[in-house]
Amino acid sequence: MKTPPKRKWASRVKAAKERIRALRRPIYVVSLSLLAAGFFAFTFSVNRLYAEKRSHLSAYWFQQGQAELEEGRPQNAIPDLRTALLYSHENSRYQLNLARALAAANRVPEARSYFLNLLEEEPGNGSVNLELARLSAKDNDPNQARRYFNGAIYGAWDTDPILKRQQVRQELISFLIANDLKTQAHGELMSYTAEMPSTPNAQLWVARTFTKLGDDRSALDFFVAASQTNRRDVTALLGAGWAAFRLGRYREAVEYFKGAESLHEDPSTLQMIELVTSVIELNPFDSSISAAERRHRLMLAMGIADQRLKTCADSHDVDLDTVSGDPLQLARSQWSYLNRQLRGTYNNSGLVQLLAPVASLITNIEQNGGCGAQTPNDQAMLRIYQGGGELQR
Amino acid sequence: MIDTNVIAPNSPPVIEDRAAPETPAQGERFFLLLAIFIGIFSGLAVVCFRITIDFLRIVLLGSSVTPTFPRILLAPALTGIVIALLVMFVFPRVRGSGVNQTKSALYVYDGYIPFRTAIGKFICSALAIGSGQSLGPEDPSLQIGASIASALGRKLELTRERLRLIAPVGAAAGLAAAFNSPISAILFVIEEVIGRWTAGFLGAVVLSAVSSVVVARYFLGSQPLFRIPEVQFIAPSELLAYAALGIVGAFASVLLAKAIQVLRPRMKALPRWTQLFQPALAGLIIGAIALAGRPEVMGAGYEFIDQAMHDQFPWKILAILAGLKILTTVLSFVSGTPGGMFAPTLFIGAMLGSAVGGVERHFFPHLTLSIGTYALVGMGVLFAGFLRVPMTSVFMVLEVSGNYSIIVPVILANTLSYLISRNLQPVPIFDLLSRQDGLGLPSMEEQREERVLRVEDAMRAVDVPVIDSQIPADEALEIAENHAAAEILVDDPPFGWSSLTVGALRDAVEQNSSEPTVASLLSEPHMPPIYPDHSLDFVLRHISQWSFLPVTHRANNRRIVGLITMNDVMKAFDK
Repeated sequence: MKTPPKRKWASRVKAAKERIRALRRPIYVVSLSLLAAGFFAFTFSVNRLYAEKRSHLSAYWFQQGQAELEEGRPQNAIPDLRTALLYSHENSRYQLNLARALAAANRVPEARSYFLNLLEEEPGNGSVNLELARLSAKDNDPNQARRYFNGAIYGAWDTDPILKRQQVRQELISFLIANDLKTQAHGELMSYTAEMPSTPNAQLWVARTFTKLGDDRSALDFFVAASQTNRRDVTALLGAGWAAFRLGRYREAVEYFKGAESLHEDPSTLQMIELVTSVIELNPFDSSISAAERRHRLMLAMGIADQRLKTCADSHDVDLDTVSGDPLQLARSQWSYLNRQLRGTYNNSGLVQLLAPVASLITNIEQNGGCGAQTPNDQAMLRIYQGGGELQR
Repeated sequence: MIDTNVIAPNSPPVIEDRAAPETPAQGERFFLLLAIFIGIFSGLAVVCFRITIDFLRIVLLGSSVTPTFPRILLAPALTGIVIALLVMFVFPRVRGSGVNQTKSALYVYDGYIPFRTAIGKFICSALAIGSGQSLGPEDPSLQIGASIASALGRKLELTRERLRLIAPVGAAAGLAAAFNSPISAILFVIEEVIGRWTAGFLGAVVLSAVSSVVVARYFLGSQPLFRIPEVQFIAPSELLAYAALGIVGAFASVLLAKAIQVLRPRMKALPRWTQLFQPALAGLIIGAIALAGRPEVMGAGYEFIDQAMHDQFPWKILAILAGLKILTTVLSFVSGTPGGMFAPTLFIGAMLGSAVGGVERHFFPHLTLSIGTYALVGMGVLFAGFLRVPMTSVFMVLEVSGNYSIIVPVILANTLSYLISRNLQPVPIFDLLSRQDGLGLPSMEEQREERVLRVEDAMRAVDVPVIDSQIPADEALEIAENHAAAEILVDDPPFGWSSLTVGALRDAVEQNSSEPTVASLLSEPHMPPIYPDHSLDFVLRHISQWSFLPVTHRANNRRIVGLITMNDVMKAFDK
């Protein structure tokens, strides 16, 4: 029997519907994928536009904050930099500047927390370590400060890493000296000299720092090096003169002072030249002089000390010829004893044996502060005999 | 006054099961695939939502983090009027946070949430948060996700059962994207919205939450909402401070909940025209507080949570901020402004936590190193105390901090906060809101704490003869008749337990010339194993075929500890 066309058509429609129904899940998935792609593209565009807006705003507010910070108004810079960060959460440069503003505004805990966060993200960041070192220094925490200073020295720097590391080490050395950690400072300074630039300024800084640390020998070397790098550097020559003077190398000292004086006339330099010259002329410890000269210099020294003693006795109204237990009278009796010894001694070995007691007596007399201003001769005496007692080569 | 309009659709839809027949595995696979799509759509929607909030904030309050006069005063107030107009005349169902709307979709409307609600929630919440109302974007994101899921489920002709479940799947996706924390979002939905989980549902929720977080992170970055400081738990003695934080947090939670409980119905009871000005008034007060020097209370306040976590406020300011945030959040919420309570809860918690940490550091400086740890724990405390989601509160802190070393203080403080809050405020906030709206949504807390009746509560001693299946039938009949029992319990190892009526036993003995054993008379199947810890629901599912069931020992199935009958079950339920 033949199927009527109407029923045939209906069965075809039904079959097609069934086929579509069987495919509905894949169709759904394709449709959802297309819809998701469209929504994604829309969100992407919106997000990009907004990201541009945020970028613009963050740059604007950062500039505002930076300007405030540079003009020394950290309190005003803080909200601006916070706003910049609001639009650029992860910008470490903004965070760093905000932290610096907070530190400058003396909001140390807030600043520290920002720096610590930055450090957590980038433990080897030199700038962050340095800022934390400064905060720890402010907090009088030398151990932590040293840890961060070292982190900064061995950390990474965006620009001029060598120069930055040298500057950080300089700051560390200054911090250690300020905290009376001289041994550690000396060690750091020695490390610094290994990497320092050969510029007169750097050499001068090192020389001065060695001076502060009491290492006159190293200081002299660097003052000399600085003066050789720049032969017209008066400061280096003066520094070298003083270092040599403190080391007892008077002839060298007078040469440096004279060099400085020839470049820049200065009464105080002239005074130093006179003083050092006096020291050279009055120095009985010089091993190269004859016994007669040594005796002569010791006699001169005793004479200057006697003069100083008399001045002291007059100012304190003390009679030096009687003995009643006054320190000046005791000094006078010592002086008389040594003077007699000296007058009876002519050979070099005897004179060398007398150097120590004479040095002790003269230092005692010249150091007496209650005896008025010291004459250049007194200063020379003190310089020569203080701590003296042995022959100098 | 019952305001079902807040949640209920105008005409509840009739959803038919139009799906073509398919195997359960096919349906399950498609549901999981759909969950991924829901996650992608929700993630994209939440990204757009966040961008819109930020954009509106710039437009309304200016681009600076500290808004200036007159914007600071006028923007929240004037935007409040616009929001009120939208809520009253265009999107009447977008009031509130969105959690209860999602629950009502699940329990009342077969998963139906009008898509218009998503649009309304998006616009109104973005306006509210962007203009500085003290509300957050998480709960609206949850509802937007649920609405998208519901719309997709309807379009794709899901079965009624799946359509019901799809709203929570979308809710998890929305919340995960907004919070950037998939685990917390999943737990919250399980703990507060759905209250239970099955393997299939959990798979869908996980997939949607993860895919939405991936999408959100692609656009918004993977960093958390606030920078997490170094968290530390130093000494056990510090637990005292965390316990104090739990107690303080509980009282703050109760204060916030009570204020909403008291003020919300009163505000709703005011004449309708006043609703036009309620958000504006709330905005004006918030603006005034901001103008008076505390702009931190405006909006979600994540940047200030970040600052509190990083020790950037003194403890007195933190305590003031917590108090002001409670006030402003209550004002914003009871005025009917659409927006979420998650962010304010986190804000209050972070401020309280930091304040407690600050006080401890002031008096016991050797004990506290990290204020951030207290802020984090404080957030969990408020979550546990106010939102009453103890599990989520713990995992939220751990997930956000990525540090499990603080688990002890977190659990201690959250538990204290939860217990105190539950005692002082027996009805949790979401249940309170649904009751105020006249909806009988199930309370997840009540469900969690509901006592489950077990077999051991209903079973009785063995009062029927217990017979080995291998003994002859006539012997068994004699034992039964000696006990005057109508039925015997048969031990039939290794197949289990069965029963036989005395009548059937007698017929078998009389009709068989050979001597049959009891085993040959038993019918299949054997009785299901019932243990004392089984719930009575489980027994009810099996007892209809039997007049009684033996209760056996879990370690030895042949050892009977009692019997249970339908009558016993009913008596237990009646008690």
